[in-house]
Amino acid sequence: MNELIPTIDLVPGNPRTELLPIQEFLLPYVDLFKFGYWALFWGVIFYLTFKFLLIPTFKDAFGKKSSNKS
Amino acid sequence: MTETLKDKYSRFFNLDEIRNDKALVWYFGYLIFSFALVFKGWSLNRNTATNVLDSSGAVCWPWFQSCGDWIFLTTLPDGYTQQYVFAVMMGLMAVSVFYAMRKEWVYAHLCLLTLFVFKMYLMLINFKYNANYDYYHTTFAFIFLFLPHKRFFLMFSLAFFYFLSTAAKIHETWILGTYFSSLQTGLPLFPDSTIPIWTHLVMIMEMVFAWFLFSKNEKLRRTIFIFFFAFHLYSSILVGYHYPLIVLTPLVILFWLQYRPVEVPRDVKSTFGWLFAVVLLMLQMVSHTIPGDEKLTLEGNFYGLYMFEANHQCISRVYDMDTKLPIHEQSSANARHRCNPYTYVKAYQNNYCQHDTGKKYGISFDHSINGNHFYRIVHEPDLCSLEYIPFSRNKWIRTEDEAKIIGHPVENYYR
Repeated sequence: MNELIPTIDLVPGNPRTELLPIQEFLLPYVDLFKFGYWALFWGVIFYLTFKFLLIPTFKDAFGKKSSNKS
Repeated sequence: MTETLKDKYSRFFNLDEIRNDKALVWYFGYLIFSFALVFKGWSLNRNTATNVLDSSGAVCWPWFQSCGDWIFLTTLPDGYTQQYVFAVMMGLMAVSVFYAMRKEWVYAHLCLLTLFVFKMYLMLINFKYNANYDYYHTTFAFIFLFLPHKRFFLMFSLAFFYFLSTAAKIHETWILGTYFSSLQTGLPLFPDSTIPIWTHLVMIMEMVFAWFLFSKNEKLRRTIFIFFFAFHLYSSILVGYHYPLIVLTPLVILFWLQYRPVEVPRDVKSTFGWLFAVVLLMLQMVSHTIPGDEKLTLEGNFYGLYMFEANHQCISRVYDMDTKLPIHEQSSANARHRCNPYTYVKAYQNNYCQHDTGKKYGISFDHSINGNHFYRIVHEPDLCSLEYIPFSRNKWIRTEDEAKIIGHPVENYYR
């Protein structure tokens, strides 16, 4: 299929771009990686927000001991 | 300035924080240095002067497309007013340092504030001042000038920017490492077969481990610091000095030379800082809310960080629709040149649509990212009628599912 697509050589003399073997191996899992990274991204945000902002503020509001002195 | 006014000014901008914290004094020095670094190449730039209106026309931010109405300075050969203002700014840098050394922080701050306002004006009227390092610098300066809990939010912004930058990296570009494998020269120093290992390492470090810069475990904190220090030195092989200097200097000041543990602020005054962080997060998410691959369409790409988001190649053509033949062709194989259809269309509209000649012009725009196929993402018969919507889909820019494949690229170069 790829052979039917013309090569556009904006840098004459350079070879066509090809995937490396390791990239060929990873290719079927790209969507899985994307899902995993987005889950991690939002997980980090929620974890940090709850652990360092919301829970200590909640504890302060209800009279429990908090370490924040700001 | 009267003492009362100075007191009010000082309280409003929380200047006692600077007076009582050596790290912030050092940071002030960094900001003056970085303003000089940023302004270095800007004084003769025709894109912020009336010269641009007379020649190619201004290319404005998509959300401020009338920016040309706000351009009034002149530069050579038309005049000197832009250079006059830059000369004054250079003087303000010196005056600012003078007052800082005398611990007159109200005046030092006022000078810095003037530099900041001028920079904001220039960035507002010129879409080309959208570089990642400008975004960093503007954010750092904003926090230093305006926000309470300056030390905390300056430290936080560094880790937060590492973290936010990964939102632009969750893509084949970094998951497969095709940005670098599509380069003729590959990833500097490392063999091609290891590219995905390094790209994933950077993503994990920036997304998760950057936060350990705040760790109470000193060994862990230092290890993370060394990683990012080495990372910026390595990045300078590709990006040069400017970007590493903008980011590395605050990292060294806040997490090494003047490091001290900080509490997470949760008082009422800290609300401004947290709201600012939410705004940065929302800006980073704009491109992800627009359907289609934003690295290909570039829609929403410039409202947050976008470093090394994709390796670009593109060809644009303007057609005379009477003959259907191209009358102008432009191409780029420079990986870091963001092939943004908006910028090209605006520039062509400025050239071809300002005066009604009765002629009709068409446009095609072919874009390849990360060594993948060239897609004809724009193919329109009436260039002059195209309008750009800043925060949502533009139907005339086709996504990877709609666009026709017209060819396959060869390996390119970083610049």
